Amino acid sequence: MIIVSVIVMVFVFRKIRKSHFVIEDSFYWILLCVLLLVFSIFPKICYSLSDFLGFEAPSNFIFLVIIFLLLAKVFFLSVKISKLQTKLDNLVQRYAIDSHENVRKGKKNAVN
Amino acid sequence: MKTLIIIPAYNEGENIERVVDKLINEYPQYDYVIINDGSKDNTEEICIKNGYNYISHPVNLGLAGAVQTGMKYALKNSYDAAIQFDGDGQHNPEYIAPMLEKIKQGNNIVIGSRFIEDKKPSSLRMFGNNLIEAAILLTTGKKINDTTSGMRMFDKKMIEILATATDLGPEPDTVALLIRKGAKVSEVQAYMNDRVAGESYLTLTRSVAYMARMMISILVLQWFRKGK
Repeated sequence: MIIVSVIVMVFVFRKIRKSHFVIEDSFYWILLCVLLLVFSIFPKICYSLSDFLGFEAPSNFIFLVIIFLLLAKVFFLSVKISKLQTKLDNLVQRYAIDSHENVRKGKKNAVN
Repeated sequence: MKTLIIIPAYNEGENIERVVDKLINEYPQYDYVIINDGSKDNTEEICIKNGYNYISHPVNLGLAGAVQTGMKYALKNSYDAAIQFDGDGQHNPEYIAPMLEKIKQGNNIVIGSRFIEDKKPSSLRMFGNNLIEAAILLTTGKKINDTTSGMRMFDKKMIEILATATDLGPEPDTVALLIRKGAKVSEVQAYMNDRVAGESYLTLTRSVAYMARMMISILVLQWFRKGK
């Protein structure tokens, strides 16, 4: 698990350096990596946390947390895509109407 | 009354000429605009060749986006009424005049309805139509005979709402929402033609998915939406 979280982190940092990734969007993944790293280096934290919250096994706790985080991420991505879609629609419509107008003006000028 | 015919066209190269030429030759009193929604066929070339009034999307947005572009155009050029008119020749322009009459009487939305005088045939598709009708009746108290008709005319007030709002596609749930926000709806009997060329978008799976979306939208989501 340590190895995996380190690999993920290296991957994220490389993507940032190649600027495939907006810094703001990378925070989530960096935090997730840190979390994984902490859990893998100090599994005790995990054990006591899951015990405290009354889970039968620490693995259940880990799975639940990660599934929740992923679901939250997917949900917010979905919201973001909707917003982008709306912006794209507006952009395309604006562009289309404006260029239609320009063509019409061009024609008028040509006639004059 | 300044009236605009909005013709959304996606890959309608086989039909568009026939439809638009008929409008130009027989109904010159109405303005029209073709919304070429990023067609991959020769729709745009045909528009240029014939000197049609058209607006071209650089990418495909889908029917909702295309109709909204038409509404924005109508708003910008201050039309009093705008009608959505299919580019595949299903709609008959002779019903525009009676629909316009209803707008003049103060209705906000007029639907070209297939089933005012005629009974609905009993088919799977009409079952869907009935289901949406029931949902709209339940939520708005208004009976609409032909909810899925694509031939809808809107007055100035509705044009403004449709042009500026997000997420008001040319679908029954939009009509339901607008009724709940106080729009007056009327229907006019209109006969429609079968497609001459090209393929219909509605397959069975798509129809089922469409129905599910509409039902959820009308019965559930509508209560959470804020409209103007």
